[in-house]
Amino acid sequence: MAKQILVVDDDRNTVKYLSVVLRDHGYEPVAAYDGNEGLQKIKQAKPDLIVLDVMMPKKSGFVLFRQLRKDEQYEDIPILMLTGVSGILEELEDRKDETLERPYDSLREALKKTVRAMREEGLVRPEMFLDKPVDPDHFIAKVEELIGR
Amino acid sequence: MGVRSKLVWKLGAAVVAIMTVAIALSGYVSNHICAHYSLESARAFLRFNTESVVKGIGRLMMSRDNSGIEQLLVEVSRDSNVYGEIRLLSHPAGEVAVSRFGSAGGTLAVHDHVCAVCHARDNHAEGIPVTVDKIIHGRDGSRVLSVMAPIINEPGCRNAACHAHTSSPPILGFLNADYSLHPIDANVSDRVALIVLTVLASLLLGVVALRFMFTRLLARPINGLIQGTKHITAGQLDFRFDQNRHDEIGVLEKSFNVMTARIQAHWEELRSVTDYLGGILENSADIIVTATPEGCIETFNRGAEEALGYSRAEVIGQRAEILFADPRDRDHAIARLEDDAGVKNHETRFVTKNGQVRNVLLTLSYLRDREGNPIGTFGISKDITQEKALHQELVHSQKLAAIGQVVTGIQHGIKNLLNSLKGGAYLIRSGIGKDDMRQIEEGSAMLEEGVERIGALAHHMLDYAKEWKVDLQRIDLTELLRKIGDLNRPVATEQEVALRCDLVDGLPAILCDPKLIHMAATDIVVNALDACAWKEYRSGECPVVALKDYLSENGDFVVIEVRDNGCGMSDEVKRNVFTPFFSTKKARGIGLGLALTARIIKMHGGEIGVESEPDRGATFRVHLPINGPDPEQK
Repeated sequence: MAKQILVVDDDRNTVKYLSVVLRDHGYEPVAAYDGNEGLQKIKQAKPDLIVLDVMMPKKSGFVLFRQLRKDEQYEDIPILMLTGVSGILEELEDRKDETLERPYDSLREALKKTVRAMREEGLVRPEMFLDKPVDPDHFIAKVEELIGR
Repeated sequence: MGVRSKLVWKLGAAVVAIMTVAIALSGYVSNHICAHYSLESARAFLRFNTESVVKGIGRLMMSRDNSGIEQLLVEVSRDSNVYGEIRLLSHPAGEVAVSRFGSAGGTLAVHDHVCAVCHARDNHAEGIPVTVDKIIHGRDGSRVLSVMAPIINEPGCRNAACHAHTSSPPILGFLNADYSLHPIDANVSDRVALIVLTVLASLLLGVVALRFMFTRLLARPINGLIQGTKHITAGQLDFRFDQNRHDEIGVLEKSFNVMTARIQAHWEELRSVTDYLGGILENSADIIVTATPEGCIETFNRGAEEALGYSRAEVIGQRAEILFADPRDRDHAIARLEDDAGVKNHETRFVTKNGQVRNVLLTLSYLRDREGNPIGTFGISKDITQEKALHQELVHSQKLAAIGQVVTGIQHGIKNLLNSLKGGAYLIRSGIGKDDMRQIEEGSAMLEEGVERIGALAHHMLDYAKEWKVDLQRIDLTELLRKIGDLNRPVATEQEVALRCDLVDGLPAILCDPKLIHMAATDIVVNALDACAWKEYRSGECPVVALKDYLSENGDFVVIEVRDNGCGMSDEVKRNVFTPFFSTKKARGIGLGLALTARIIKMHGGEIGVESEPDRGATFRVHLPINGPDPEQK
C-alpha cells in the first residue's frame, strides 16, 4: 500500500505540482489549501509525511507544525517545510546572523526568529527544510530520506 | 582706633569742661563768701575799735589833756599797719586833731572823702548819731576802710567847766580812722591762687582718672566690638562674642551675635543656591554663554570651553560673533529675538578655536533685571554635530534597508513564480511520458499563469517606478467608495466576509484624481478582505470589513476608514506595511499594493496610517485634503 503524503499549501499550483511528482514516484498525495484544512485531513487519516508551506492563511505552517509536535498522537509524523526564503537554516547554522546580519531584511529576520525559537525548543532539524522553487528530484530524494519508498 | 580716640577724647573734654566749670564756680562762690565775711568782721571790729578810741579821747578831753589825746592817737597807730591815717575832726568843718602822718589844721571840702562818708547819705540832715564807714581807694590804689566815729555833744561836754559848748550841735566832731584792707585783700588773693591751683590739680587728676575709666569701661569693649565687626566684614561669619558681660555692651554683643548668626545663615543659604545654580550652568554639557547688551561675551561655561576649544579667559570681553561660523547669524538671531518672544532651537553653526564647524541648536533669550530692562543676552546651545551625522547615517541605512526589503520582496515573489513555472514544466514533461493529455494541459496552464504573473509583476514594478500624472477633478468621494463596495461585494461574499458600507452623503466634494483614488481605496479594501481570509475565526465570530467616510474634525479633510477584524499585524509587519515588495502573501500579492496606495495618497497631499494588533484586526485611515494637494507639492 502506497505511503500517504499530505501536501499543504495555499498556492494551488504548488499543491498540484508536488502531488503529481509524488504520484509519479508511487506515493499517495492528499491536498489541503490552508492550515485548518491540513489539520482536518491529518485527523481524518494520519499521513506518513506532511509537506507544509510556511506561509499560509488561517493557520501558518509554523503554527500547524508546532501544534502537531506538541500532540502525542502526531508528534512522530515527519514534516517537510517549504519556504520561499532560502538559506535561513544555513545562516543559523553558521551563526552568520550575529556578525554579518543584514539589518534591512525584515521578512528574512521574522522567519529566522521563528526558526531560531523552534530550534531552541528542539523542534527543528536541518533536513526538514526545502526551498522554493522545488526541484522534483531533490524533493523526492528528501521524501525518500524521511520515509523511504 | 581713630574712632575710639575721638569718642574718648570728646567725652573726656566734655567731662573736664563740666568739672572745670563746677570747681571754678564753687571756688569762686566760697571765696566770695569768705571775703565778704572777713570784711564784715573786720568792719565790726574796726568800728568798735574806733569807738573805743573815741571813748578814750572823750575822757582825755574832759580832763583837757590835749597832749594825752595826741599821744593816744600816736600810740594807737604806732605799731599797727592797720591805720593809714587817723584824724580828729571838728564839725561842721575843720581838722582839729593830728594824725600820725597827716598835718594838723586846715579845712576839708564837703567832697573830701572824709566828709563824703556822711554827706553822701540821704539822711545827712538828721545828723549821724552812729559810727559809719566807707571803703575808699588809697593813693596806691589799695582798698581802705574809712571809719567815722562821731563825738557826741553829751551833757558832760555842755556842762564842763573848761569851755562852753552850746547844746545845739549834736555832734562836736569825728574821729576819722582809715584802715588798710590790704591784709584781707591779700588773703583773698592767696585764696584765689589756691583755688586755681586746686582746680588745675583736680583737672589733671580728673583727666587721668577719666582716661583710665573710659579706656577700661568704654574704649576696650567698643574696641572689641569694632574688632568683631572687622572679622565679620572680612567674611569670618562664624565669629561670635564671648558674652560674659551683662551691661549694655553685653546686650550689644548679644545682638551682634544674633545678627551675625542670621547673616551667616542667609549667606550660607545664598551660597548654596548660588553654588547650585552655578553648578548647573557650569556643569551643563550644553554651551552656555551670556553677553552684554553691546554683544561682548560675559560668561562662558565649561560646556562651551569643551565644545569650542576656547578657554574662558580667551573669549570673555570678545565679541560674541567670533563663535559663529557666519558672524551675521548672531545678528539674525538677535533680530528674531526682538521680533518674537525668544529664539528657540534655532539651528546655526559655531566655529571652534581650531576652525571646526559645529552644528548647534541655539536658544537665545534676553537677560533682564528686576524692572524687566534687558541687561544682556543668554544663549544655550546644544552641539548636534554628532546627532546630525548619525541622523544622516540613519537615513542612509534606512534607504539601504528599503532597498534590501525591495530586493528580498522581489526574490520572494519570483521564487513563487518560478515554482509555478517549474511545476508547469514538470507536469508537461511527466504528462508526455505518461501520455496524459490532461496533465499536459494542466502543466501548460500553469506555465501560462506563471508567465502572466511575471508579466504582471514587471508591470507593477514599472507602475511603481514611473512618474504618476495626477488628473485632478472635484468628485463626491462617498459615491466613489460606494462603487468600490459594490465591486468588491461578490469577492467578499465568496470569502464569506461581510462587507459593510457606512458612508455619509453630503460630504464636501474633494479635489483628486478619481482613477488613482479608486485604485488606492480598492487596494485597502482588498487587503482587508485578505486579512479576514488569513484569520482563523472562533465559532460565533464572523469576518467583517467596514468601509466608512467622514469629515475630519478641522473640516479640511475627508477621512476614509477601512476596518477589518482579520488576522491583524505584528509590529514588524506594521512597520513595513507600506514598503514596496513587502508581502506576507505569496500567491496573489507581490507586495506593491499598499506601497502604491501610500504613494498615491501622498501625491494627493494626504496621509495614510494603520492601527493593528496581531489577530485583532486592522484599521486603515486615509486623510484626503478637500482642496487637493498643495500646488507647490509635486
